[in-house]
Amino acid sequence: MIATVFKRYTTLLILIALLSVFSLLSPQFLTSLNLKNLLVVQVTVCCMAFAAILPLIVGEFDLSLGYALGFIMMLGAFLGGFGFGATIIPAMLVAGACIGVTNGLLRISFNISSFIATLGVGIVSSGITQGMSGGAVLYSGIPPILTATGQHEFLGFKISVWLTSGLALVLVFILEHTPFGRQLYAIGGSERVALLAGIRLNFYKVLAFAGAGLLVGIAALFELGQSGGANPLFGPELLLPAYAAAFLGVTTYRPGYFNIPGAVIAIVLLAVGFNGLNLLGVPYWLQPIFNGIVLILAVITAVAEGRQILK
Amino acid sequence: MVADGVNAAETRNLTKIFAGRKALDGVDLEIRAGAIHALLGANGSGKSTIVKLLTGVYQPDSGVIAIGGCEIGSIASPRVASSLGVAVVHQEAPFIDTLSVAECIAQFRGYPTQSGRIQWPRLNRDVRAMLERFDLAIDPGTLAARLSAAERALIAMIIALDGVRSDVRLLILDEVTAALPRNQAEPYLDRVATLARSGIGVLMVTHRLAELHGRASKATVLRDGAVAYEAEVRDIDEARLIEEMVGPKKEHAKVSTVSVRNRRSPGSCSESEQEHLGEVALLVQGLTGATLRNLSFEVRHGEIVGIAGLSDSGVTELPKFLAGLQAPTGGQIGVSGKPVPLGASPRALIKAGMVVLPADRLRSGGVASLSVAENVLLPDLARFWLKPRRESEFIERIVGLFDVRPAAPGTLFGKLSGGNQQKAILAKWLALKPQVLVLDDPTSGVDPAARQKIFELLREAASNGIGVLAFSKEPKQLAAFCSRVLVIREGSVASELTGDASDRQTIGRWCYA
Repeated sequence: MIATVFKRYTTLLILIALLSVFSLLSPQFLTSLNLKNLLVVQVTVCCMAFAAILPLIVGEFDLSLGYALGFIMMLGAFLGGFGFGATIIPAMLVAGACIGVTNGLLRISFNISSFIATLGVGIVSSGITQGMSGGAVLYSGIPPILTATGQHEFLGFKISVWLTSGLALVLVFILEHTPFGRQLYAIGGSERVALLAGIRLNFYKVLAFAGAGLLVGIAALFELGQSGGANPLFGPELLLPAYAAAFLGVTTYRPGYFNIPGAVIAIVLLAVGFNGLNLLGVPYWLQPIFNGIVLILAVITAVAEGRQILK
Repeated sequence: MVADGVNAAETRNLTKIFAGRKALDGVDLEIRAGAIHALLGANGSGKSTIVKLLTGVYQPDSGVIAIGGCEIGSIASPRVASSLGVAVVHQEAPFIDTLSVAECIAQFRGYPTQSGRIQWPRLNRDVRAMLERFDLAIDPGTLAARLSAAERALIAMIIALDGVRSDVRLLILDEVTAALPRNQAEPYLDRVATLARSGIGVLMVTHRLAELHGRASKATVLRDGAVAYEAEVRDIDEARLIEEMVGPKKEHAKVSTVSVRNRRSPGSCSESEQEHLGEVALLVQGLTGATLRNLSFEVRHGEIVGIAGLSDSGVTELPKFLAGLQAPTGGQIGVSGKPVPLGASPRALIKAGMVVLPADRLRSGGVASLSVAENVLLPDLARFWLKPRRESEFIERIVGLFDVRPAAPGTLFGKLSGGNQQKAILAKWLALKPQVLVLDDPTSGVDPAARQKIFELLREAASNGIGVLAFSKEPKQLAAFCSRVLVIREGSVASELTGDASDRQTIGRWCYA
């Protein structure tokens, strides 16, 4: 019993250990300002990890996530520049969903690998991003409601943090407590069995991609609000951290399955690690090394457990 | 080449034991040089064990093997077998579809190179010469995917012969013709016969009796690891041969009368069977596909119908049509009086009331990484949405009813034994209350206790009015629980066996004939 709990929440325990070590070693670490900032900058990557998880559950990859983030932010800033105001919010969400649907339709109608389909879509959208930006950072006309989510607080936390937590809960409900979510996991477990059970495989895959696109749209809203502008080069660097969090999350909460709480814990773990090492004066370039090693070790353990599950 | 009159290969008193069971029990075999020797037998009779002993994959526990008149006891490894002059061709042709014929062959004999660079002209020249030696007019640049089945089989044979590291004495063809359409098997076998006449002994493992005529000189039938029958092909008694393949009548008649009596015992099943045997549950008319030809039959509500046939008869295609995995090219399928469009999706077929329990449990039957509960509920998850209590009650009841062990619905499907997996899949489909239940090889890899339970569940399903259609590779299984058995041969129903006639022997006779 204790062993299973330990296995399920290894990452959480490591997180607690890190928190105590850093609070002992650095007086600034446990200050509320530090913790608040630590969380608020993780909001975007958190939504991006959620976006990565949906296609991963059905056994697909979405490489367009990073480019799409840059594209949607730029679209928002571009439209904002024309004075569209708060209407850019639905526009950005719709754009995200459209990119996702395109990915999904390419994947299933032409039966090409999702790697290729989403890579192609991503590269195309990065071109459009450049076109809209004209090579400059766009920052005019960002609606104040967006900037407020990253600045105002509610019950001690930034609004964007609350919104992301709510989003995580909604996703947990959808994935674990609706037929739709459970069928997604079944498709990921065995497409053939799912097909034979009468599940509309292709439709659900498109929905998974569309959901991913929508989540990238939400990530773009938070990021645009936080940074106050859209940089044509921004986006792709968030792809790998998003996937790292998704894979790391497999080790926690529902071990062996891609899951939302696991990814959240993973992101907080990596953020705490980053922040703590920073405060301790460790050189900045050690950070990616730390992240990479944590990811590989965690997934090795998960795979070892996965083998036990199947045998 | 070896002179006529010497045996290409011989085995004496060959015995092989697996897990305490004799897979081969004192087999004597004489394969003459310059002739084709047919090796027949049902599944599990020991044919493939002999092949593996002759090719050095396994070593015998006792007995002697002689190749080309030279006694060697046992063959230590495939490499040794090859240096003794034994070549083997397996059913799956060893090709990479995306490469040319020349390159496929180069995977086995190596690329000719000069200072590390591949000499393409030489490779093509060599391969062309190899193919021409067997009168094969195939360009070495042809993509392997474009080859016909017969060409693949021939090139596989050429590769096997080429790989032998001395004079070829024995060529083993391990069910090679099973993968060939009949019209392509003929020219292929003619080539093999020509090859044999050049002095090589050919051991042909096969299911098809007809193709022996005029080509093979001797036939041996294995049953339960021992030689049951052996004769020169010219004076072969075909009825006897089939009888020997499927086993003695006495031993098995016992089994079938017991089960027949069980089924028909007064008061228990027969009345209800009569009562429920009503409307047509599944109607198949003129169904045509790659191997099926104008297949027609019907299954009534409350009836358990078995389907038997050899692997090339069309029995492997039919369940795929019924599951919606492949579309037939012609014909009609109707479920409970309503026609189902050809090429309907699995979803549409389930909605129409037909469910299929597939043959490969782990690939098509259940999701190994999900729990038993999730697997059972998979086709009908919406039914219990937001009703977790009713869901868990339902699943507890189902698991108990179908006797899935361990009785914990949270157990991962992949952790169950074969029999319990099958029970869980059966539960998944019967929970939908279908009109027609199709079972593809439901008892393979299932332990006897689970098998009994499955038979019991199927009888119960039938008495509740479900039309059951069962495919099985083992006639014995069909004899045990079907009220009627259809034998499929060459794509259509060759015979319909009912009552006492649907015993294992009769089914076997119709399959192999």
